Amino acid sequence: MKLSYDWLQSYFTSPLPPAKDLFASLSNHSFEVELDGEAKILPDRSADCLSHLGVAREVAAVLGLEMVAAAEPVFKLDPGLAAPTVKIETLLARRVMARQVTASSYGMTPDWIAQRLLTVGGHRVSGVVDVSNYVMFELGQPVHIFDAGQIQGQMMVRVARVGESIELLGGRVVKLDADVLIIADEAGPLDVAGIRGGARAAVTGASRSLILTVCNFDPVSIRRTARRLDLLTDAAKRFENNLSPAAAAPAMLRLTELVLELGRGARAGQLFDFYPNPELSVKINFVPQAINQLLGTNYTNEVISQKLQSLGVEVSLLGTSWQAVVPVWRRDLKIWQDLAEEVGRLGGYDQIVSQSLPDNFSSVSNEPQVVQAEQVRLTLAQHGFVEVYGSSLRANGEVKLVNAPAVGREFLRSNLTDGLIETLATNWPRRIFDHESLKLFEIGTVFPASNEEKVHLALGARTAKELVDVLTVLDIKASPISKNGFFVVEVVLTDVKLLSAAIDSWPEFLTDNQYQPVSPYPRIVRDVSLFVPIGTDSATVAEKIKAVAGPLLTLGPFLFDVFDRGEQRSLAFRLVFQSHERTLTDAEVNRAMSDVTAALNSTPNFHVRES
Amino acid sequence: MKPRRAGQISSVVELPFCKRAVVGSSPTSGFMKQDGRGHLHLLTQAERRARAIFQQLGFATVGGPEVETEYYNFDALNISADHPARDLWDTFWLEPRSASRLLRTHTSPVQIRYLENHPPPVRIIAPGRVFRYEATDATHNYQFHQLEGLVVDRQINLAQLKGVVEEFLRQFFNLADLATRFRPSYFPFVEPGVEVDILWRDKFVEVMGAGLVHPTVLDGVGLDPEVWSGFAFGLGLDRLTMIRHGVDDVRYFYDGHIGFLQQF
Repeated sequence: MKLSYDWLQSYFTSPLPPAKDLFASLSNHSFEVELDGEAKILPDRSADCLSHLGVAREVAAVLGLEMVAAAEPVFKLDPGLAAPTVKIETLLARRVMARQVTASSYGMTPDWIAQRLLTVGGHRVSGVVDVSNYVMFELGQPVHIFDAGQIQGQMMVRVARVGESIELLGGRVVKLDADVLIIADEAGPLDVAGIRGGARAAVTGASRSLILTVCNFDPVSIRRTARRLDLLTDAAKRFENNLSPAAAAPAMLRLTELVLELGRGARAGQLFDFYPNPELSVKINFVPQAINQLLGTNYTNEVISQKLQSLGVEVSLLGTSWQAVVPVWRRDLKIWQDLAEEVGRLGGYDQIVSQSLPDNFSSVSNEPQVVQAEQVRLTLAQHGFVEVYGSSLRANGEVKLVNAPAVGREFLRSNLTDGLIETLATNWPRRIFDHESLKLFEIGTVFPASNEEKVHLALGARTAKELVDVLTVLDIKASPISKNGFFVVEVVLTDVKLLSAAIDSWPEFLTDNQYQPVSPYPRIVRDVSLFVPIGTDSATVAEKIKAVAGPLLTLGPFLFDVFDRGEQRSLAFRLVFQSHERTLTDAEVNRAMSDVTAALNSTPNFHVRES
Repeated sequence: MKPRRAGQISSVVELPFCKRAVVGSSPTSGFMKQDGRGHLHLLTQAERRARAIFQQLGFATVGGPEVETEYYNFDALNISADHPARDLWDTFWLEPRSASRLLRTHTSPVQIRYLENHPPPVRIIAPGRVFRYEATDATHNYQFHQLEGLVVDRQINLAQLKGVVEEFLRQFFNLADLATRFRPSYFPFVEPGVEVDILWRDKFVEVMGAGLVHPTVLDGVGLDPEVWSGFAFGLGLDRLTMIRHGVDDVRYFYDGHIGFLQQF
């Protein structure tokens, strides 16, 4: 939810810290708030903090500020305007409040409300609609207003009948079925309860008599319906998180107040309030010392009480036991460990002094399969194999996904071979020398049958010969199979028996290298050969080439041919040029090669060979 | 054999090369290292690094299945079917949907499986592949790797969680003064729940979720929460590795490009 800084400020007389600091404090003590005010409210706090009042309470607790006491809405009720009656036919409605308001017309949205709606990403519709949205963003309680003139006969809250449908605000028509909770009249559905209003009794410019409703519905029912109908609305989000039915009353007061302010000659009627099972306050017994023990802190009883009280929790000592009475809006506080979290986060996790674990764990035994995978990996790497991680999702297999992420990713892989051959084939053209050895392996989980999950090893290369040595070391009897020009062996990992256990050569294979971007553009390969005096270090020659070849040299120089003739030694190097920005031209590479040739020829006793 | 003329574009090179070599080792373009050894995948290296650090701290490494049941992936972790917290994990379901089998969305099911079969005290890590049904981009992939940690003992506390996590991160990044930050967060299977950031190049970056094992989870595996307590954490190995090695696209880990693999 997007937070408005000015709106939050309105709850306090003392100035709040600058937005950046305020949001950082909330991030450190409550929930993540980005610099632009976007608050990441997770399900534990969605019942109270998807509202500015809820967040202001957090601000008060985190910063130790006193909130301005909310002014009780003041308005007169018209005794002549009776409470609407709503027939409640389902236990899924936990509270239903309704009230009639009449006026000769309703004005525009007041600027201060329009402004606040704008900063939280809402949009203006009309005075009546805007104030009802406003109440939700202020208090977290969704509300809905009907045009009383369009309601036919008795209003009711019930589940839909099979075959019923409703035209929603915005025009979409949805089919309802027997477990969708609706508000209806004698002509049919008016509203998908707690989720989205219907078009038939929507408030328009012509509306004079309104029915204000503030309800609370079963969160599971709301969640199921919202998902089934794909109506993930702001209202549904609040109800599915088990908003307190107690929150309805203050929202009805606020809504009535704001609608009365809009109406010319407005009158508000008596209240209908169906609330058969008023919720009782949650009481938690706790031991302050247990909270300290769980956090690893040494807070005094007074500090613990004070932190809880700053959140609206009433703390009392009953004999020897401490009791916390949780405010109705905090639906997430149920057990004493929840209270420990409140103490810990308000005190600040940075204030908790880190400790070590007790040193009572001397023997560590890893699962055999972990040890085996490690030894096989090391053995293969020592034999020149490069490890790959393939995709677990492929176009073929025995186990199908209900929801594939992409075409060609509909199944769990049933083997490693198919993926490994693809990887061999895509990498083969990337070699610099024709008969270079490209040896790959993967250790990974495969799903060969519906209820089967196994860890396999697959290794592959261009020729079967390249696999022979390591197959012997791993005591793998299976012969390489040939497919698409490569040879691959795949076995169950636990069937691999190392003839000689790999020594722990990990340090040789752990790198701190920083990633260098891999260019998507084609490369150009060139060779240079030269005569040098016998005794010349080829590495020095390579350095010399590297120094003058320019920034387009991406690989090499690789020394690939050496022979002696008399007092001279011939060296041949291969160079690979590639750009990260574009496809190189021959001319560019020719220039680089001329620089290389010139630099080598200018070295005493070096002669670049012309062919 | 004859080297090609300087200036000629390579298509095919005649080999065997080096037949007449009298100095140096055989050439390689870098598929292998200069000495003929191969490369272990960067995520294998990261996992190994992590395991070595945790092993010193007394953690054993265990595994768990990638295909899970709804029970182990969610219910046993205090994430009930109709709770909005389910939305925090976008899930791949397997056919038939009625069987409620899925690709694990986190390594946390290993906590339950392990505790069901091993009495405390427990000190384990469980690295492994996990899956999320989400759009793929440079920082998100439908498969990635997590490393789960779990400690259950008498009187385990949040200060110890901090100590272990900080020690791990300092050693993993090889930075004795690495700054970390613990923020409140929410995961249904821990209470309190935290998120851990590291200060990396002047910015805080999120690296893991953690917390004290929720009493409901302990209760579910038959452990009395008034006697036993524990902490758990789940770190993203791909993410930690990207940070450590400056990798800017998670997909490199899985597309098998030799130009990437041979760098490490």
